[in-house]
Amino acid sequence: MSPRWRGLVRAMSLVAALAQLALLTACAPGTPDEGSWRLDARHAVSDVSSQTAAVKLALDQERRGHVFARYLQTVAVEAEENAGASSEKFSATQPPAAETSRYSRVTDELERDTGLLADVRIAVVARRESEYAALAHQLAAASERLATLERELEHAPGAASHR
Amino acid sequence: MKKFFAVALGILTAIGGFVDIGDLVTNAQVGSRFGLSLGWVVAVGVLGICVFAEMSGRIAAVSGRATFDLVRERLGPRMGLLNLAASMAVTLLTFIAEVGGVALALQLVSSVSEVLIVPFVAVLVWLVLWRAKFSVLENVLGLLGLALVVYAVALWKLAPDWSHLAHQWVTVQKPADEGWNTWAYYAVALFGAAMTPYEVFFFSSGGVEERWTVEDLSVMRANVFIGFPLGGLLSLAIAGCTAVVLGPLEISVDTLGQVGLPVAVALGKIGLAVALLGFVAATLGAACETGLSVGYSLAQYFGWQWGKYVRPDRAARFHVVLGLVTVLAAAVLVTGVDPILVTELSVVFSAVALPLTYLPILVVANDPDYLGRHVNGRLANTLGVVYLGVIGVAAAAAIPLLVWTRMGA
Amino acid sequence: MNRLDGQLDAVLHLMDRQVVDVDGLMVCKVDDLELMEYADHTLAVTGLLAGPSALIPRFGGRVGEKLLTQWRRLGLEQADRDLPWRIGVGDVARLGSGVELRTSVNGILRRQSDRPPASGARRHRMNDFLEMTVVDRTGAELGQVLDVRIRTETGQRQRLLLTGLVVGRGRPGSLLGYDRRGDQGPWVISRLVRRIHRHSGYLSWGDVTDVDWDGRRITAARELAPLEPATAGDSA
Repeated sequence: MSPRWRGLVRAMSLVAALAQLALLTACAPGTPDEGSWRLDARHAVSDVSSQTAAVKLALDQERRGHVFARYLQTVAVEAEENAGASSEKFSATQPPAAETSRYSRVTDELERDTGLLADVRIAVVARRESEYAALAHQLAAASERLATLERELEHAPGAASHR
Repeated sequence: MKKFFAVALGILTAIGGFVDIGDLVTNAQVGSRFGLSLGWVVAVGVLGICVFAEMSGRIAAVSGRATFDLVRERLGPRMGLLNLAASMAVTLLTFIAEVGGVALALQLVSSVSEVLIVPFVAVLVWLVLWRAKFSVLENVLGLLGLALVVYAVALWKLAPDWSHLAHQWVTVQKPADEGWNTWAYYAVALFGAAMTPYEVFFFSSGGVEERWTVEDLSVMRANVFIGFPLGGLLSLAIAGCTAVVLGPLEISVDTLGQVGLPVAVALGKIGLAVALLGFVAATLGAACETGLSVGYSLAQYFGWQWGKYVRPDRAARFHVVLGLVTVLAAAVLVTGVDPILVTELSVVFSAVALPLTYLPILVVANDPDYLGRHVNGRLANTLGVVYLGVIGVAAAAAIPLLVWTRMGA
Repeated sequence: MNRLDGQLDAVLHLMDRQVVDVDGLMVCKVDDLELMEYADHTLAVTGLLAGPSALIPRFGGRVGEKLLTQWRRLGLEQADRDLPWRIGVGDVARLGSGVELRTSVNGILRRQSDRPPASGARRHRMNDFLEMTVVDRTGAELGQVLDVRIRTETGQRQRLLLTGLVVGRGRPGSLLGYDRRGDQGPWVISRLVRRIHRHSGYLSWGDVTDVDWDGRRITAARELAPLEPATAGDSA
């Protein structure tokens, strides 16, 4: 390569690196503002909601005799792990001042559901099949609550009531 | 008659070998979140991999040269080395994902934590790479991978509203609750899953291993143009199943267990058992293919003897590489990193790495010096150039979209 | 097609190709070429070079230098550390998409000799010849050496005689071969690369008056001729 081209290539790679850096800083803000906090909250709630629904589905299939006990166990264990991780990651964020009350509501709800998923896992690992119906019922109720919460989080605190 | 069986076997293994952990996970995720509104990407990706694999297979059959021979010859040692490093990193990432995928699939059978299964999977993969004959590896795992046809059966059994699915597919109907940026991100991921570079490294090197000649061109084309699209249909069936069963429940797939649930819903334990067999075969097959691909690329760049058609001691450096990458994959996975996360990254970076090998292949496929009268015709070149553009756009968009959407969250 | 039957371009058709033995077993890559300068001003390729000491200098730049230092440091005690492996051109049976040897792989690679060759000849490497600046008699720059056209000369010892130079501006893409033949598709890439290399031309070896190896400078007596593809041999 001639020196001129080498210079051009070098300049271009510098520009690319700077662009990448700009992108990174623009897209991952250090402290969340209210909008991005709500987005994080919705993601955490929908994560946990998805895990809850998946365990509910697997539990229902077990009651129909459609899945193996070990399969159900794996689904339950992984759901609990993933939900726990999402919930913990969210609790560790700093809420903006206007959202402190909803922050504690969301974290309470997430912890409650993670606890429920742990109960399910305990029952499933111990193969206490008599409890499955009741647990499935609780999971359904949890899904409902999470769905409501997720809808509320689409709006700023004041506007939450008129959905 | 014998020829017919050879062609049929080739097509069947091409179908069974098409789906790997990337296709499984990405299609299931996309199905549950976007329905079939991204189905067109699978179609675009499958046609792309057909074009790419046909060119590299033709080069392998006519000139006996595999992918990284050409990369170094056409780009020179310097650019070739950068290319090698980038492509190998992506293939290695895919290899780790596949080994993790085997462990996840076995975890579903045994309910033992996947971290504990990983060392056994690594030993198994290494034994297959060391001992098994190339044809055995390709045919047995390819045929067992056909078990994933259970997804097509499950979709049919679920009796969805076909006209609705078709409408979603044709009209690119994005669900209202998803943004266009996540939609674009998953389009790139799905494209990367369908057009993973290792498929081509493996395909062309396998052609050299099996000593294809000009006479094998028609068989090779049958494998590519019948086998890959049917494999793509399997991908769509997986997306369809998750769209029908998991989508309405708002389950966004992030474990392999969730990928299997629609089959359990539709077909019960027997269907689930078949699906699990398919998971193990598809991921194990792909693990072997990606592992070999790392060895192939490195050996082809440096001119070492490679391949399973010679005794391992003749290709010692090649086999040392295979051993090392297996150890590396196991070492990464026992840290407890989520194989699904590795998979999601690997399909996106596949899209980034594609142009690196695509361009040299496209150029050589036109070079009469290598191919004589078997150079690209007008159709192959039109498609080839169109896909050069598509691949370029996907590669350029992949990392910005990854950052922007925070991995499609 | 055996490229050795006709003309060939050293970089485009020979460098970086896979070397295989008589049974098809892989030996090495053509990492560099041994270029012999004779007293009568002729240049010829006399051997294929392989191994890290041939490959690493080709990376060029600071990275290449660093790698080369590292490579030496790994075997300071070895006197022949910088000598690459060599295969004589006479051992090559056929040049297709790869280099096919006449003999078996066993013991084929020998270290390149470090003793000076006979009667005034000097040993060089192709990599040191490439990218030399080409100037005309007034000193105006014509470009740099991108490739070297050679043809087989069968005599007492087979060698590949240098017949001309491909001279251009050193822009990327010369290795793709489009600068030499316009009929190779796809059309878009061909047009693009040919546009980038529109200044490239051919210089017959007879028109070269001087090669200054230390100053990396070649003086030409005439302007560049249009670049034509190397004509391959007749035998199919």
